[in-house]
Amino acid sequence: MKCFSSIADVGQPIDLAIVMVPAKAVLGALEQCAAAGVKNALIISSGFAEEGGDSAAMQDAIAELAKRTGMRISGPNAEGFFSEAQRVTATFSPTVDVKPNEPRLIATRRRIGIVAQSGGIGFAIYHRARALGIALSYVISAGNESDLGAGEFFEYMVQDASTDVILLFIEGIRDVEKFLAAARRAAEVGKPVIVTKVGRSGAGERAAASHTASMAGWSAAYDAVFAKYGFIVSNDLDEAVTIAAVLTTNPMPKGDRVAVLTVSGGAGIWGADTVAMQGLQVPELSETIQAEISKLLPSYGATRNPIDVTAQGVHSGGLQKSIDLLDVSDEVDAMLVVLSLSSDTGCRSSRPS
Amino acid sequence: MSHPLDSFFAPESIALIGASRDQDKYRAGLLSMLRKNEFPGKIIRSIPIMAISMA
Repeated sequence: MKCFSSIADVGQPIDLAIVMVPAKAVLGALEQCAAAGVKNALIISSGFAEEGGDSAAMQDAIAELAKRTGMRISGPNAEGFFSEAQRVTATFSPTVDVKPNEPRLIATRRRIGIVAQSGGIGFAIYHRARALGIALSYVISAGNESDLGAGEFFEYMVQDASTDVILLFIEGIRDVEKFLAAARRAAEVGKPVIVTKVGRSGAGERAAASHTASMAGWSAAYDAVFAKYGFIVSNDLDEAVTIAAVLTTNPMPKGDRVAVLTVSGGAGIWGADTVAMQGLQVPELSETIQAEISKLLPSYGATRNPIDVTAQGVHSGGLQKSIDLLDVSDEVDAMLVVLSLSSDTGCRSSRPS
Repeated sequence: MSHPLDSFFAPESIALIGASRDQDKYRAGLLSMLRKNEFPGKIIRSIPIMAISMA
């Protein structure tokens, strides 16, 4: 591979320049890129607005350069992005490493797109989703957002045909108009959005300012926007990824009636409570369908909803047949199946031998 | 359908600015990750003169 001493010498169109030079040299490198007609730049280097003082002034100069030249700029202080759909690795995150002895297992063709200001969190979400077999369109860390912000990246994911479900990790939104337009559009086209908003406490807000120079803002205002556009708010990383797993493997339910099926009476009660506390219905099933289900279960099973097929119901096929009956009935819109909770790992993945 | 950020998110050519062999593992790692993940476009490496003189 040829290595050029200046971008001006390359003599061919460049779509994306990934800038990794020390902070003080970034502006000069960007000027060269813009002069050479580079369309976009991604600045991995740190040491700008998150440091304050002169370093913040350098970031202002970067923002000014983007406006003046039209070259779009992401970062600085960004961990970049990764796309499984486009096979673009514009990041140094170790989570995108390819290990020949660990094949990528994909459970579904529907893809998630992740927009985070923090690269550490964005790529952590990707890493966990990957372990569950969820496919990825893009994961992008917006960093300090001198020009391109989380709102604009979110907007890209909303219109992107390879992104089916969007996960957002937000410290504070700078490009508010773009964010709101994207939120409205996502609601219109029915693309699900899962959001985690941090910087809700005084200490968290202070940390956001020094991390990606974000203004965390007023939590109530963010929550009002999330509610208005039907975002799914999750403040737990595992929960957010699990929701993404459900949304990429199942169609959206048409209503709020849920059947809880289990092999354990205790798990059934717990599941019913959890569903009800989310504001969903766990309706008592009709006598007709209860009579059908009771034929599949031992006398000590339960059929009203929750449906306790008991341990025997697993081996006799009662669980699967109950699911089939409910599937063709018009009594519920979704089913929660709670199997054993005693596994030590919660989720086991197997590798092809 | 095209979008102004397609050239950012689905670039046909990428330039690595400041990606020399003797630099830290992050920068060297990025080039190898691009290759390992089978980037289908062109990769160009560049060491801007400005960067070297100011570093």
